[in-house]
Amino acid sequence: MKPLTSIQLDTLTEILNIGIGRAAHSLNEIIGQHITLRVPNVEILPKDEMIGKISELGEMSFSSVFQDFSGDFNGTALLLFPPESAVRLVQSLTGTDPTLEELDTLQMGTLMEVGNIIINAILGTMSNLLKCRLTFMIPEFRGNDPVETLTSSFLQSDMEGYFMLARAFFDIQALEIAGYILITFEIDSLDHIKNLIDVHLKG
Amino acid sequence: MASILIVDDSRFTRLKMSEFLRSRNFTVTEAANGEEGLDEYERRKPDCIICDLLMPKMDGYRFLEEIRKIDADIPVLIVTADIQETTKRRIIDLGGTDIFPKPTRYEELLEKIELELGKSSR
Repeated sequence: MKPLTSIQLDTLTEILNIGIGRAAHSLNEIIGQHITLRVPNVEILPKDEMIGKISELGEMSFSSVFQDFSGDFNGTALLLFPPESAVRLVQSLTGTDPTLEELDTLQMGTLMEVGNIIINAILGTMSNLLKCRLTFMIPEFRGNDPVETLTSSFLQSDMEGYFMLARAFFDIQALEIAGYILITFEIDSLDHIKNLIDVHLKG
Repeated sequence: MASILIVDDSRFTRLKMSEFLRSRNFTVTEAANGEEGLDEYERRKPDCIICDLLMPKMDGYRFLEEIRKIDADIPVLIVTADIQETTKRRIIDLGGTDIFPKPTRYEELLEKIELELGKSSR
């Protein structure tokens, strides 16, 4: 039996899509360039399958901004950039020309701020539409981690049960910047999220 | 020349916002968290405060509570990436003057600053 019905999963996908649209708008305002987004892929999965999906990102390393959140849902949102994209983003925002190894606190702070804005745009929209409440932690930046570092942190967590995993890809062609947005949260109670979605559907 | 205190842990945000406000002839001081913000408030007695929410040491909610204990009137404009309606209500309940999303449209922020400074007797 699927954790959510098709209409419920479609609704959740659409809600996240709206949030991602808002994130694209925000990123466009910051960077002044067109942002191309793909419709998010949203799944409700047991933990080991969720980790398997994240592993599909491959063997490359990423610079990441990650932000934990809690409240109606407890989870983590990640903005992942191939390192050269992270550097280009810093260049376009600050006018400086660092290498990944040289990123100073201003430059890392800039990436974290951008990550914070994008993640809040997506999850804040979801929270408003589902009429729930989330509390965000201060975002953190990691310079150059392979995918297995990301997956091992999920493996080590003691969260169990079902997880929502949303994956979206974006790119800013004019600046040759691309990245992924991953959002995952533990679903303590499938009934809770079903109720929130159903209330939203009824309007 | 009116003075503005910016309280935000993001150096990038402080840099950009300060540049904009100084270009509009405001005196600007900065703080990286709520604790520093309270110190700067005591030291400089600004005319207006612009404050982030999510900060280490002392977040924007706590800063707002503390500021309102000592100054009921100073305009405190919250600038945050958190766009939740529940957050807006909480800020207003704590005595925040207004709330602006990030990325911030500086001209809109400026309009509000000028409106609030025009109202106040500071």
